[in-house]
Amino acid sequence: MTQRPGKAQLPHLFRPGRIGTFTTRNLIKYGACCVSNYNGRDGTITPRELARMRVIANTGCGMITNQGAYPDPRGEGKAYFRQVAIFDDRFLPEFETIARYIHDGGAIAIQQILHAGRYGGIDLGYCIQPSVVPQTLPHFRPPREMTKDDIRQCVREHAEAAQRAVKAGFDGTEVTSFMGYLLANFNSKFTNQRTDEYGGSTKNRGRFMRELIDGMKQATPDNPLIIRLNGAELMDNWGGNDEDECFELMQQAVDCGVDMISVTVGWQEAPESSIGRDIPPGYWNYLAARAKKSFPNTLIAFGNRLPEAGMANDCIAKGEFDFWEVCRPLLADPEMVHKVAEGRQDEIRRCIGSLNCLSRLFRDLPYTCTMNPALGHEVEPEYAITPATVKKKIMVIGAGPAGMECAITAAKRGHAVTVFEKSDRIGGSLLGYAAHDLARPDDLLSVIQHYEVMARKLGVELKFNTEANAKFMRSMLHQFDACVVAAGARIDMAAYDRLEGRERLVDAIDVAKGKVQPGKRVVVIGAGKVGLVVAESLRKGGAEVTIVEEAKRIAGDVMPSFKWRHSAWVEELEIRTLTLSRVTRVTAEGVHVANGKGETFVPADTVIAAGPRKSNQEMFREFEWMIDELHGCGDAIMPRGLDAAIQEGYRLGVRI
Amino acid sequence: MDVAVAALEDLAAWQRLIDGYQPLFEPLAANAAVGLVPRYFTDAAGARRNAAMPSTPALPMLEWRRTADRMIALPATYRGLVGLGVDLLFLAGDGALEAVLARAEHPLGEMKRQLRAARVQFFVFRTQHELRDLGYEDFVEALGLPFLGACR
Repeated sequence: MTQRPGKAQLPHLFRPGRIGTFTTRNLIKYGACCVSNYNGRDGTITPRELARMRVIANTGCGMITNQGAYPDPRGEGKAYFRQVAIFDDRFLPEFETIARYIHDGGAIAIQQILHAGRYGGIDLGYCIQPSVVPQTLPHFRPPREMTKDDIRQCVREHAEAAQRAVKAGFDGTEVTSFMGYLLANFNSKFTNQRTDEYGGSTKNRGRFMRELIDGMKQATPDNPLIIRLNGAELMDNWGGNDEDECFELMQQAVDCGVDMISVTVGWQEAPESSIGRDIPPGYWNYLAARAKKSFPNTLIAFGNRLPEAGMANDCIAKGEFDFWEVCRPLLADPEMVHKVAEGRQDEIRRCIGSLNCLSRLFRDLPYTCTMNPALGHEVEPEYAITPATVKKKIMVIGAGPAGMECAITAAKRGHAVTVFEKSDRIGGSLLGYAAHDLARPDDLLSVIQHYEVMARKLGVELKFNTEANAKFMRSMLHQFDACVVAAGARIDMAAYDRLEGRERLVDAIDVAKGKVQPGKRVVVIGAGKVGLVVAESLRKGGAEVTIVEEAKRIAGDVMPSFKWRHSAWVEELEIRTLTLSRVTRVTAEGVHVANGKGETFVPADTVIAAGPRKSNQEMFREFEWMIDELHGCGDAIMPRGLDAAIQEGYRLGVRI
Repeated sequence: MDVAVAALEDLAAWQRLIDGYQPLFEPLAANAAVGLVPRYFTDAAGARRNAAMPSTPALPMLEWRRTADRMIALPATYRGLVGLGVDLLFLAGDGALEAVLARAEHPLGEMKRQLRAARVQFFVFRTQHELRDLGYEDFVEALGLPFLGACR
């Protein structure tokens, strides 16, 4: 058999591994990735989840961890609306199915036992913790202190859960201290203020963990036990553990004989980000390296903000960790490992760290993926890319994310696709956004690069510098069977028709694309995502910036997972923000702004209109009687953002 | 007198601060309350202790409490995290309260900055739905705290 070229390029990642008595085909571990929220409210696993896990089972990973199941019948360990349960044998048939899928896929099956502690009790109205320390985010329930009987019962329930997992066919189990769950609550001096033998010193705080490990190992002695432990809590400023204390706790786990430590970073409540798009890949690798150096005889898994196979391969080669633990990149592209093995890394749909997956869980919603519209819909044939029954010639107007997603999806189904774009490249408004993004533009640019690669490989014809209008369309009559309008949205300058001095306004999109160079004193009208990105970028470049917004709050159209970042950047960059305010007049010297306090004059040499946004819908009316099928997607339907653009482009492409 | 306590007890200054943001507090239900406490105190043995504990000696606290028509600043007492009669609590590290008061133009912006720098710690005593029903959503978001969809 010819070795796949990617395996030769990344030999360390693809060499076999071992955990306990089990052999793995490579050193890639699929991480449990929180929970999916695809399951029943009563903790049962649904066909939707099984369909998803069948896809995960075939990702090509050497080890696959099933999402965290809560071990107690009361539901104190249950953090998420549709978290799966493993406190009773009646749940086992579906666990057996998942274990079988994983084995059929050629991987070792690990079941995570997840007791959420301070984040738990979603159906109860309270949560349990070592001490009564309220949470610092408004998502959770009031805490109750665990008694010693509660602790013993909890350890028993974990042990029984581990036994059930093995009975269902899983090869090993995992417990997690990540994020601020129960194990972390005992380990951390922020949340553990007990004065008995379970609190105080690091040794005492680790007692619950040691008893848990002992209990689970006694219950399943022949099966490996993995523990996820923070290398850094990021809670030190609030009285949490520092890194040295985290590693002391790891030592305790090693001394108890765990088979693997999965090194993690951060708490849900940490004041700083650990896995968001604003953290550079590789930033946390030093924690894994420290763990491997400190515990050379214990397997170390790691993957926080490490989305690239090449980097993982290099880290393993250097001995920084043993297994690459990867989750979100495989949600974004379940074919990632195969593509890497086959030397097709340029075809990977990269996780861009938007966190729309996990942040939805706090709204009791199933997770989705900006880059993978089919995630969570594997059970629905309507989301599958299948050969088109009737092959069509399709024209797509607009080479932004919506249009390109539709184009490549349709092309995969056998349609002949031509994309018409008025600018000179793929990207649409995403290009302007990436050029000014304060997080990591590379992540956003990777989306464009993906479309460029796939368009080429799938034979999608691209016609740049071509503006679609009625005259153009008449010249195309009868050449295409279907037209997709993915022309995006613009700033609605007509909204300023009655504004005195409106002729002085510049369009934020033109600024974002570099067509207009603002001066040094800027007023941005509109604090939506367009206005914020432009304002932040200009301020970082040294301009004095004021934002004027009519609504009460900024970032009204920004995804919840990112709102707080913009709020922080506006503050850190000292961007003056006038909310509940309206521009009444624009002059050569600046703008007059009215609000509840009266009128203010803000000096400015550039006034940028960054809202409202208006869909470019004119083509729908113009083309309606010119072509057999007329469709639309993305901002051309309604201005939203990247997530909606990709989702809609895909859904249209699979059914057109 | 401890500097932080002195800052806390300048009720006139805090009332001026609150008055600058009354529209933000308008949605709040009557009797909704926020507490501010210095994060560190000196115990009877002279040791510096963190006030983020279930129980502490009696310490001065500043309350912002919503009356029928406005938010007012009141002196109160903090005895630990358990049984506290406020909805939200801010534990202010050294210099944080003074910095907030000193930023006359936009003190809540300074509060946001202090939270981001972890110099002010924030505790929640209500569930998300309760906070929304009590009218806190705008206030919490104004401080840059994720009200929904936290994952970092």
